[in-house]
Amino acid sequence: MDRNWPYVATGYLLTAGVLGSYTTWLLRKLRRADRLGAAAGGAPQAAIAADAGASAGERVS
Amino acid sequence: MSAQSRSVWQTALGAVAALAVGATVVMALFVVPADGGRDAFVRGTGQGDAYRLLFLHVPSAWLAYLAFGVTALASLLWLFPRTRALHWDLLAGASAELGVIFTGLTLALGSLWGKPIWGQWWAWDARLTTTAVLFFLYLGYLALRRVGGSPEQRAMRSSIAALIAFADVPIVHFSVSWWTTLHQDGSVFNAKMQIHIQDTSMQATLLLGVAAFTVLYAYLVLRRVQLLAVEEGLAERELEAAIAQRVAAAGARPREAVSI
Amino acid sequence: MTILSDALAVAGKDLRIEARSRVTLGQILPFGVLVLLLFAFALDPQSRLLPNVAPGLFWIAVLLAAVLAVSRSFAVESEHGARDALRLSGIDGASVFLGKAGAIVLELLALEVVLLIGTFGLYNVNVRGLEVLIPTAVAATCGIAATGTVYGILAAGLRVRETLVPLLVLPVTAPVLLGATRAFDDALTGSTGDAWPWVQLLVVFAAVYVTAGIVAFESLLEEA
Repeated sequence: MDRNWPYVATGYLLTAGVLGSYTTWLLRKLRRADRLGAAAGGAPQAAIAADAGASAGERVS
Repeated sequence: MSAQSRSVWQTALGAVAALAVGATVVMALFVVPADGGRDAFVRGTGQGDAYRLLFLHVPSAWLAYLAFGVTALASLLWLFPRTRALHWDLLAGASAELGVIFTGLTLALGSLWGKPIWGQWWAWDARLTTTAVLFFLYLGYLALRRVGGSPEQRAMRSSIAALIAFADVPIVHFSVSWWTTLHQDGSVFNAKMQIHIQDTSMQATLLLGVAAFTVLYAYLVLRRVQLLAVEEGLAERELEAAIAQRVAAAGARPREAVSI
Repeated sequence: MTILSDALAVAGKDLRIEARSRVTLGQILPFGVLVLLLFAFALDPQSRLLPNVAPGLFWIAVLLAAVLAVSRSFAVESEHGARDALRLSGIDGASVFLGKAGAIVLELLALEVVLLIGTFGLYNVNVRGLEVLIPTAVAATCGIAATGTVYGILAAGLRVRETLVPLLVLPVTAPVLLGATRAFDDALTGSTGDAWPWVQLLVVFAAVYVTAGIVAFESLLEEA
């Protein structure tokens, strides 16, 4: 690496930080929603499928 | 497809994305040679190591545009009566959010590359300026999505806002490139700006980066839509539960005036 | 043409409200002139800087005032259930859009005349090339008013309206700021020939967003 390595390092660390923290946040929220969904009755996956089916089926005016 | 096998596919997609992005980083940092050979930056024969930033910058930029394109398409599908379904609106929102993230990354990475190569963090170049305007256009779109109202109201508002923003992109680009060519300061754009990606390993890494980021985008957008759907479903169920509770309470005390 | 006569009725209503309440005249217009003054404080009035950057300052003042005018135009509709009355009046969404946008165009054009006199007086700018300045101002104002009206109805009735409208309107109108500033610059420096491509750009912008408003307004009025 030449003397510009700090720019390169910052760029890679920044990308890792932004994408990493977004993914972590997203997956954590999904897991939490999974638990809540299970507690509220019915697996959330099924709820999503039902949701998508319902919204696809009916025409929202 | 059952929920079980769907979740397996999803995990596989996530794993592929992680592996591909990891491979891109390894290739970009440790395998491809520095641009212009050893000590190129000092000798002035090329960009040296700074160009390694482009292996992230170019895929991010591509994804930003792809994500905003998906947002516009999903908004159109929502507006078109025969395909109108709320999941298109969720897709539009999820994609715009990722688009804003990738646009921000594109700008930051471009800046980090511009400082050593151009000698300044920012240049009023057409593509840079358009990207910056794009960033704020879609920040506004995301802000509009968060203002509340029923899902249908939000979908109607945001789909029209998305198309307005999308129609603005070519106009912005056109006006800005016109503006920058009028009084271009040549000193910034010296020969060093030209990147010569002749090396096959460079080309392969760039392609790998684009593919890796695209898979990552597909995975993230999928999961984000699921989260939005779950959140919306939960909100609805909570409301139903609250109403049921109040109805039950009202039934228990029939003498009181009840307003729900 | 009922669309046009309905639009005139809506525009007339908005303009009458403004004539009576004096919000545009008493608040938005002074605000625009104040922005011109503030620019002079921020940039040294003694230097040659002000006349050179006057077109840009002029259009920024117009854009800021336009944001206020749009907010005002929809604040009027959110009071006393006026929006429901408008919806129930049977007037087509396209007419409502054209009427409200038209009223904003007229208000802004009046403001621009005052601001132009202001730049002439305060910034020591020689106003010339009116044959370019007028079409530029009309095209740019139509574009600003059209985008502003669409975003105004999007944000109408929301608690965050005042903060949301600028964030939505200003990035979209970036090409208008650019084009109108360049055209004014060319006109004021005497190279009117260079201004026409910019005027064309402004016309295209206005056409795109007026069309978008006419098409989309009905659903926005109903749904959002």
